[in-house]
Amino acid sequence: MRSDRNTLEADTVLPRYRSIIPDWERFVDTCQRPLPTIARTNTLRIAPAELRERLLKQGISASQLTWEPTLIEVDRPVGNTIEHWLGLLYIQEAVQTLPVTVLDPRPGEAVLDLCAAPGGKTTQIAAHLGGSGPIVANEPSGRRQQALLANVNRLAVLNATITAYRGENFPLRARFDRILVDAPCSAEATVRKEVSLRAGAPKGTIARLARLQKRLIVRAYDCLRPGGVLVYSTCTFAPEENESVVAHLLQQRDARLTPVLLPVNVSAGLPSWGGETYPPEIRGCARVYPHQLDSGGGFVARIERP
Amino acid sequence: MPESNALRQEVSALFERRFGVSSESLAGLAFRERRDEVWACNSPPPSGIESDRPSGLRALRRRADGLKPTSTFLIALGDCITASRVDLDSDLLRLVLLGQRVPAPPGHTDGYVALCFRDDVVGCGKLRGGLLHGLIPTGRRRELLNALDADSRA
Repeated sequence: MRSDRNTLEADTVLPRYRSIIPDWERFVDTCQRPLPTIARTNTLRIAPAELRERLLKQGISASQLTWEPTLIEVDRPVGNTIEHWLGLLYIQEAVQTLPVTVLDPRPGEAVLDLCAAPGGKTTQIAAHLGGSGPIVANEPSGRRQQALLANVNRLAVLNATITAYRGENFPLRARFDRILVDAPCSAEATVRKEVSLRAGAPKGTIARLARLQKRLIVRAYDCLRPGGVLVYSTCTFAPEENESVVAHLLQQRDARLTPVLLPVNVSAGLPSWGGETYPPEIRGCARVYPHQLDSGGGFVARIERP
Repeated sequence: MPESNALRQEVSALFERRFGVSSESLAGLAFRERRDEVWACNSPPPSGIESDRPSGLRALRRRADGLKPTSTFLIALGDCITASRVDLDSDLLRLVLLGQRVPAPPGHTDGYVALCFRDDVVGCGKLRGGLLHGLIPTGRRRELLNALDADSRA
């Protein structure tokens, strides 16, 4: 009986990707389970062990993830705790922390977060910088900028400047050491919390977003100083929004794609999709599937400017 | 909007005198005034970037009676604040968040204070004529009331 049920379910969750996602049955099974709740420690304000202690005192089961001790898995929602209100934590899926891990900003560096709202990655960058080095957090949408501002204030980030440029028109006058493009995307990899995405995003939506993403990644690259690092990430499985976008940058600019190194088990970038063959180095990108991390999914690429 | 020495001295003196914040704790911050607001920032953006909003956090507002610290900045200063801390239990804090004036605890002089709950700074308040009232922004007050409710149920 169980295998019949799984077969039925397997055909209803993002069937377009059956040929590329490893361990398909586990993937489908994981997509139907609720996401774990992860609290990322705001290390600008508190040490992870201290935050864990505070949560434990309230009867919340809290355990630090072995591969990233600033991430604390909790057994209940923590969005209404005093600790959250104080900005000691940010609720963030584990997979959503990977792009900044790969970006690896260092104290003193100038960092641009091109598509910054609602601010999870901006505030994570701030924690990496430890309060030293400017962050430009860009968000053109006024409504989304409000969420970004609220989180920057709540987490007490003292080195962020909020801008409202259209990402593809971001001024070329400034140069950055590290740039994150966490691009607007079809969000198919959020299928664990968005059941409506199980059928996959409409092709037209994917095509429209891919056009925007290509403009964003090229503009971001042009804002890098020589020797700088660009990380491109999405929360979708669509190769048109991932490998194709990175391949577009490699065609347009003298960019160097470098392997994504992560402390967790992930999959390599695809060599080809839909009749398109990508440059071999695209295998160095990371595809993350929900069953690999017990989280959502996503895509991360790391690019250097020679 | 360059930083001025006079502004830095004014801000440092206020925080040192009223809140016991050492000048070293503010050393990495640049303070800039725009209209009636003072902003604190520890890393200005690269040149060529334009924003409607100054960098960093809004730290103080200039009022007729002097500079008033923002709740956001007092929370950011946290344990650096060693004076004018008023500890409230959850019942008193709830009343303050609901906009009521409550009797001021002994040992404090009139002026701005850091409201605290379980040793954490939760915002700005003001003591006057033996009464304490809160100055936490409305939206944040509502959120903190919800968090207190959840905390009491836990």
